[in-house]
Parts: sequence; structure tokens; C-alpha cells
Amino acid sequence: MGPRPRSEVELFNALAGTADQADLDEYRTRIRKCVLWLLGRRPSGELVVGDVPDMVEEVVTRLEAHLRPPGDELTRRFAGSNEQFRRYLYRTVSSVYADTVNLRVRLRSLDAPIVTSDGDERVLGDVLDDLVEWPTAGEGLGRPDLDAGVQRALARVSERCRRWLLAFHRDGTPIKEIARQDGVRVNNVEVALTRCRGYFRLAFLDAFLAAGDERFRARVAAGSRRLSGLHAAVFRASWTERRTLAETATLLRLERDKVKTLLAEAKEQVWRALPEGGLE
Amino acid sequence: MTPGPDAFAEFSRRLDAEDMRERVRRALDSATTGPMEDPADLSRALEAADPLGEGGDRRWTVAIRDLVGAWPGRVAVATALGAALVAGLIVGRVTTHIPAPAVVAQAPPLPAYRPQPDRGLALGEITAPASAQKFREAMARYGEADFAQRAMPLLREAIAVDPRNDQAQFWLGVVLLRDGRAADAAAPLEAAARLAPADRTYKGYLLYAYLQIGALQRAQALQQELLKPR
Repeated sequence: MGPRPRSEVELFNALAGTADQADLDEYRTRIRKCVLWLLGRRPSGELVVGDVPDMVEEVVTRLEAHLRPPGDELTRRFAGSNEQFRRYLYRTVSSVYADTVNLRVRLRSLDAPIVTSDGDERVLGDVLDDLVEWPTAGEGLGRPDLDAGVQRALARVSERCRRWLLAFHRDGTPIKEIARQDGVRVNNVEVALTRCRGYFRLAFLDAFLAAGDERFRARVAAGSRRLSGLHAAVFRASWTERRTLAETATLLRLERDKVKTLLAEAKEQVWRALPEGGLE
Repeated sequence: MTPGPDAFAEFSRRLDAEDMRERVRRALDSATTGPMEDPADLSRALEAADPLGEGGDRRWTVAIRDLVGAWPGRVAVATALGAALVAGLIVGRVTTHIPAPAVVAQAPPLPAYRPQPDRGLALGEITAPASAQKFREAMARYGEADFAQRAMPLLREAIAVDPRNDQAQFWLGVVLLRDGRAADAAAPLEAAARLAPADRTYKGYLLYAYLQIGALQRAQALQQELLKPR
């Protein structure tokens, strides 16, 4: 008969000391089994098929962070039973799996089409990229509201992501040079930059949406009520109904350029109608 | 105090940003993003299934490896496999369907027929003239596409008038055989072979009939008789 298979808690505790590679491999295999169990049974599995190694590593990291107290080899062991450890393991795997799926779903939302006020249909991710002023990103030199969003988004991505995004987009450092400085392969930087850009876009999207100013919108709505005639109709179509210039032109039977001019005039009239120019 | 153009530009930028923010919200609301996962649901499912538990498939592989790892286990596995093989063979013999003996499915060729005046006279001598007449009427259809259908009633009439008309018996058997009615054909062919035992053609067609109805013993006996030198 062969040796008895080691329990999960035994493997975890073995890693507290001088564990060999076989222990670590077996530990990862057990975690991978749980990840694959979920992946094979959930409709969301297809979204995260390529993320299995990352999920396994994330589970290892989270278990270390939650269950491994600082200290010497003896105190760094998990004192509970294998059943208790396994329950923690299942919860951690579930949490990592859910986070990964939800991140993938959110990254997908960056491909959503968006129609700008000019009537152009673009992808949300590209629109967000245009809002970020990369040449001064992280330096607080651009528009304060968007700068704050960029700062918050940069703070939410990993240190390496932040460093590489700024190096590539703001400083214009070539990928080859970034790879040389960090001692990694060029391909690794390319793949990581693509991922980091997705994470950054999501973080910036959250910051951008959270920066909405309800009071400002209410003041604009109040100011717009003083408009009359075509100016009122054009501003309502654009601001309240979110119509494009072309749609408004069709609706009001006007030329597109005429609508553009009327909208600019309406904005100025709203601004003038507000005390302090509507800024406070 | 009148606000300057910079103040309006800032107001316009904020207005555009708010407009963009609302359009982004609408785009996100209408986008089909896919299923979101709740970690609590996943955890409950995982704990209930307990994929690392004792019943996991890995334990089976370990158990099998342990079993065949030593000689007593290997002998036990080999014995069990042998017993299963023997049991399978026994069950197979009992339950396997043995098909019925193959029978000749094809219709035999139509024998050649030439009216023979001499034979006709002889026929007239040993059979009733009315029977001979009916037989000739039947065989007058030989070569026609519907020979079997048209000759059959006339041959039956010829036999009814005189059952000793061996030719009528033989040809009735032939048309029945070619009509796929081997069981019906056997009797007139047997009668023909009995009336003219020296005629090997009669016996040849009777052999066909026996094979088609699966009368293998009679077919074998008749074949032995046919193989005997004259």
C-alpha cells in the first residue's frame, strides 16, 4: 500500500516551514480541483477558462494572508482541523472565482457602444481613454474633476500596473525599455499592459461615474427653464432627452449646423441665467 | 460682477462631462454584460459537493493503484476479471440470437420449354386429352411477361382433369416457385417427381423448393439422390 495522502491542512502547514516543491504542487493541485469544479458547473465558466492559474495563485495568496499569522514556523501553522481549513478553502476559492468572473463581466462592459452628442457611435473603453489626459496623468495638471478620477483609478491598480501604465502612456517609454528595466520579457509587458489598461479603465469608469454633481445638474435644469423658443427645444433635446445633433435636427426640421449654433447659444444663456455663472 | 469667458468655458466643460456621464450610464444599462456571481452561492455549492472529500475521484485512483501494487491484489484482480469473462461468455451464449438457417431466397430460373409433338402424342396416351389440351393452352403463354399469372389457372385445370399429368404438375410448381410461394410449390413438384422419377429436372426444382422452405433434411436426401450416378 502507498503512503496515506496528506490532508489540505497538512499541506498548508508544511508550507510554513521548509516545504519541498512536491508539497506546493500538491497544494496547488487541490486548489485547482476546486476552481475547476466551479468552472465546469457554472455558466460563467467559459469567461474565466484562461484565468485558472491566476485564480489558483490568488487563492494561495489570500489563504496566506488570512490564515497565516506572523511568527516562527510553529506559530505560522493553522491550528484548526482539516474540515475547518477546507471550509476556509472553499470560501476563498468561491470568493476568488466570483471576483474573477465579475471582473471579466465588467471588462466586457467596456466594449458597450456609446453614442456621443455629435452622433458618433464609439466603444466605451475608447471614450474613457479620450477623457484621460495621459500626458499629464498623475500630476494634477489637467482638469480637476477628471484628474481626481485618474488619481483614484491609479491608486486602485497594482503598483506594477501603475508604474508601467504611466511609463508607457505618460512618459512614452518603449515597451522594450520597460521590459529591460524590470528584467522581464517584452511579451510579458505587452500582455500585462493590456490587462492593466482594462483594470485602469474600470477603476476610472467608477471614479468618473461617482464624480457626477447632482447639485450642478439641478442648477442647470433650473437655468434651462428660462430658455424659450428654439433654444429651449434644442437644449431640452440634448440635455434632457440625450438626443444627438442629427436627431435633434431631424426632430426640429433644422440644419445640423444650425442646431449646433443654437445649442451653443442655449448653453451660454443657461450659464448667464445662473448666479455666479452656474459654477457654484 | 460679470463672469469672464474662462468661466463659461469651465461651465461648458462641466456640462459636457455631465452629458457624457449620463450617456455612459445609459450605455452600461443597455449593455448585455453576462452573469455576475455571488460568492455565498458558490461557497454553499462547493461545500455541499465537497470535491476534496473522501468520495472524490482521486481516492478511487489511489485505491486502485494500491490494490494492484502488490501480488495478492494483482491475483485477485486477475481472478475477478477471468470470472467476469467466463460469466460474460455464458450469458452471451444464452442470450445471443441464433439466426434461422439460411434459405435460398432467389427465384429459380425458368426452365426452357419447347413444344414436342412426339412427347405430346405420348402425353396424350398416358394423360387425359382434356388435361393435355389445357396444358398446351397454358404453355402457349410461355415467353410472355405474365406467363406465371396466366398459366397458373390453366395448369391447375389440367391437373384437376388429370393429376397424373406430370408436366402440368411440374410447371405449376415452377410458376408457384417463381411467384415466391415455395411452400405451395413443393406438393406439385413432389407429384411430378413421383410420376416421372427419372426426370432430374423435376427433382432439381423440388430441391429448390425444399431449400426455400427450410426443409433441409429432405433437401439433403434429394441432393444425395441427384448426386448418385445414373
